[in-house]
Amino acid sequence: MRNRMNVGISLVGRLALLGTVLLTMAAVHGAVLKSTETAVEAGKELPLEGTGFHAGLTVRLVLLGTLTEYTLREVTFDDTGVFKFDLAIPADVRPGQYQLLALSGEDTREAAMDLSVMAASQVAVADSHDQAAGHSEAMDTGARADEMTITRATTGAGWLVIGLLVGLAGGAGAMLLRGTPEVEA
Amino acid sequence: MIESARRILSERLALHALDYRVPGVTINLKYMLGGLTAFLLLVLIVTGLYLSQYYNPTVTGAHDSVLYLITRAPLGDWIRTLHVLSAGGVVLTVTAHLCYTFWRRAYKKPREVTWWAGVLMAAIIFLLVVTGTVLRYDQEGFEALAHFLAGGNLTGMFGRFFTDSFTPSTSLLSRIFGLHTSLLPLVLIALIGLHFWLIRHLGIHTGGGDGAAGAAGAETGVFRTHATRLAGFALVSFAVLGVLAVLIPEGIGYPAVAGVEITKPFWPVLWVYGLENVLGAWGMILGPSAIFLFLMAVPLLDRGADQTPGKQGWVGWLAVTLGILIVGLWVYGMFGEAREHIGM
Repeated sequence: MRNRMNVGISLVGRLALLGTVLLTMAAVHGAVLKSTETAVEAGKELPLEGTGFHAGLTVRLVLLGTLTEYTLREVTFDDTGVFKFDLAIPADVRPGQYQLLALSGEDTREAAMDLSVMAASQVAVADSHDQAAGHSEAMDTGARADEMTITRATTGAGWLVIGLLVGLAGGAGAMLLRGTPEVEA
Repeated sequence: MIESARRILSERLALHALDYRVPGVTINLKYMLGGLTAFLLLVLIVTGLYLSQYYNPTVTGAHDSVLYLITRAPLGDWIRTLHVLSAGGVVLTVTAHLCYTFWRRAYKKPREVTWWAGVLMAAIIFLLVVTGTVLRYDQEGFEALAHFLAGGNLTGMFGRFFTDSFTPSTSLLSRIFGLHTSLLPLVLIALIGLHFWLIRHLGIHTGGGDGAAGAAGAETGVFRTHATRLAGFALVSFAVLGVLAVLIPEGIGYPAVAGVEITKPFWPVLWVYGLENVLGAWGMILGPSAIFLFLMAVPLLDRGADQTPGKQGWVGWLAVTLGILIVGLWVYGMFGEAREHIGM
């Protein structure tokens, strides 16, 4: 009886392992986006290569930044699952760090690579790694000392959390102070 | 019910260890300024940990990540403002603590090391304020970064860490982020540990003699009462800062443009800005260094046996003069015209 149970447990374990491997293989099918460049100037082209995609798959190439997102173009793969072309980066892309994503269907992430998009004058700065000094040579006009006008995003739930935190802290603090009268120094 | 919960907690957390005798006068806000500073540092650590989950310490990503924090991260705007307000609060409480302990002559034997640890902590807090300003990476942050670079170049090998020649592998902004979030806080926490250890074992100086001597030093209080009242002040401070963070949210300037120097720094640093107006770029090195050296030297300069508060003689008058100078330079920095100091 005990031996049969051990065999059963062992079988379930092996099946689970096999399932995990198959699932991993299905999820990671080796799709890769790569380029010879890690930084590109807005308005220029990025040499781009994609390999390991499923044959016949259509993906959208999307630049996902901290604050903005740009859909650049669609690619449909032939039987080889490979593409290679120069990807045009629109001139109005905001300089910054991006992920270049290949998305299929309902925004399924097939592959991704990091990419810095620079204003024309900033490319040299990133290349030299001499950011602080390099920046000072990059631009010299248009500086502003005032603050940006920002639309803030605290929601109703956010205000509730803040109210609770502040209320609890203030209430508990006041109770503790009332319970421990001050001694004159 | 509450009493029962209190007893259970007290037993499990060994809270009876807090029931040691302390001078009665320490149950007073004036003796809690250091504790309040420690509490605000805790707020800074917690809020800083949250901010660091969203911050991108790279030249191309820093400003956008702060904008993201303000506009999209859950509670990001409030937590960032709380962080900035707590930093200002720490500067106020640590300055008040320093002035009050100086006036009480709490640096005298055997508490010299307690004082030196405190002065070092104040210097590190000053550095944390300045490095934190850089991280905004707007025009003000960029100019603060340029000041680090200029200071590094001015001081030769001593300031090499703050120059681009230190390493080509990463940017100065990333290294300042590292300083602000790891090295400086770690040193600060170690110094807080030393400071508290010394206070626990040497006792709180209450003036007019050592420990239990005199009415002021009579150990008529219990530390638990001191800690409870301190917790009360700390929680109320948190609530006040939380409300202020709603009423006056911290902003951010426009993305930096190099080659110009048009902003003034965060308010705790305005006295250095005023000094730079007078001495040029060397002001940012000479001013803070002079204050730091004076404070470190205080226990060596005031060596008499008399411990009466406020009777330091010429050392006291020198401190008052330096204090007036700092206030004067702060007012000059605040209301004077904006000038270029580092020849950007």
